[in-house]
Amino acid sequence: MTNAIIIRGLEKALGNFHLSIPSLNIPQGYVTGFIGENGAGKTTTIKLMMNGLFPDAGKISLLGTDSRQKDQSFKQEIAYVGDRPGFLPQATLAQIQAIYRAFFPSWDQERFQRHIRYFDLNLKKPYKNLSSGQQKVFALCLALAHHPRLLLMDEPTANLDPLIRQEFLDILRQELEQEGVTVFFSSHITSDLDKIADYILFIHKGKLMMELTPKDQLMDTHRLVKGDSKNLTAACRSLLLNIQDNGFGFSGLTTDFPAFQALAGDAFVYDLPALEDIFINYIRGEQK
Amino acid sequence: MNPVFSLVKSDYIKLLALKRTMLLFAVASLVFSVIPILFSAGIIISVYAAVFSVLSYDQASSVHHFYCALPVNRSQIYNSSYLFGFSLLFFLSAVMGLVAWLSSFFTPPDFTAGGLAINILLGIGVGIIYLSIMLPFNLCLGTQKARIVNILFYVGFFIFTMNHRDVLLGIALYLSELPFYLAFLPVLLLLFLFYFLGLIIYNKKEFKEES
Repeated sequence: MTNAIIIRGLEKALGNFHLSIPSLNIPQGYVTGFIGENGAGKTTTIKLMMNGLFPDAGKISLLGTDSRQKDQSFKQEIAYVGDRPGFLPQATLAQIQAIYRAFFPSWDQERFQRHIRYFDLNLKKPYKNLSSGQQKVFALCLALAHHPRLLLMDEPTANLDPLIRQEFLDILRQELEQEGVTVFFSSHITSDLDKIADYILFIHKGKLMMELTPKDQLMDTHRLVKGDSKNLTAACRSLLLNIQDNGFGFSGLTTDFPAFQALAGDAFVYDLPALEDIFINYIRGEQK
Repeated sequence: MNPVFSLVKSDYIKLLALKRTMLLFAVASLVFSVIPILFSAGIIISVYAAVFSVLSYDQASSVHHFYCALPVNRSQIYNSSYLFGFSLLFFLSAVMGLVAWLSSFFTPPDFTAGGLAINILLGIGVGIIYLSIMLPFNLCLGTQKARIVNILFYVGFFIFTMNHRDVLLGIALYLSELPFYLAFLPVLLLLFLFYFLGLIIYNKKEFKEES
């Protein structure tokens, strides 16, 4: 499998925060959800990829090119939707578009106009007059208009109302199906990634909490387990993360559901977890 | 289009977007154009208004996020700011010179053709000095910190002008007797010195939130 993003030995210190990613391969043509709480290192990682920050050690390769090389023209095939786009608020959408398109030879005006119409945006409006949701979708319209092979998004759906968020994800999904673009999508809103991610990556306090894992595999192997604590053997406990005792018994997350079920049988209740459940249990399990 | 030219184009589009802010400065430039004693100062003020308004608004809107998305490197961003600043300096000097020349048909002849040329050259010379110092400070330190340098520059310039008018006049006379290229040589040396120092620093600059 070809990799769109390759990271080796990445280290970056910012004050008390330290990011460390020894090795990571992001496969081409899939959506990878990068999940972490605020301050976990998601934005730092993406800024390092986009050459906004420089690594203290290690290398990042995007679409086969060293992200720090002097000639940054490889970014013509990459789109980046940051948590803040950096557009001049007084500029109209048409002016921002005129600025942006000049950098991308593969700019597709028809495609851009189609998305603008879909989201009902008025190009004559100043950017500052858009709602925060409209500002985000405008950034997405720009990002998709030059047919990127790699789309890096940093919290793109934060602060969006449910309707716009759904529209945002719909257009993203539609474009992914048509163009086969690789998406690296950081978010702390895991429900969005439940819907569109193929692979999942958890980051916590600057460190990856598990290998890059296909979401389906994550869902197959993880279960929320509830039941009577008296039935919980030591072998079963070893397969559980974040065991919490409560008035009704215990709850926990198993990371190896087939093995757990083989051991425990039907003595417990098994619930399919959401990504959020998995993420929270990993963090709490680590804290314990 | 070369990314540097695309960045310069983006700066001009931003100027258009800031037209309300710029209007006052445009009127001031026109007024300065027809007052010979303020002509050179008018060029500097107009360049300051245009270049540093764009830089300040850029910083306020965290433009570094936008730069991250573009296929450009640090040198290209740095060079484009210089190209934008200097193209504006020459453009404004030409426009203000034209306005001064046209106005001379309707007002008492304050400007002779030679006097106007000297005023324009003086404005360009001081403009180059001003941009040479201010651009690298703004780009490397950010507009907030550079504003302090800006104030010091202006205050220093005016204090010097007020207290050493004779020295300034002597320098002007000395320079006026020199061949054109020699008079501009120290200015160009200053320009290149600050340009290269700033470029080295800017290439190592990380786009953090405060930058």
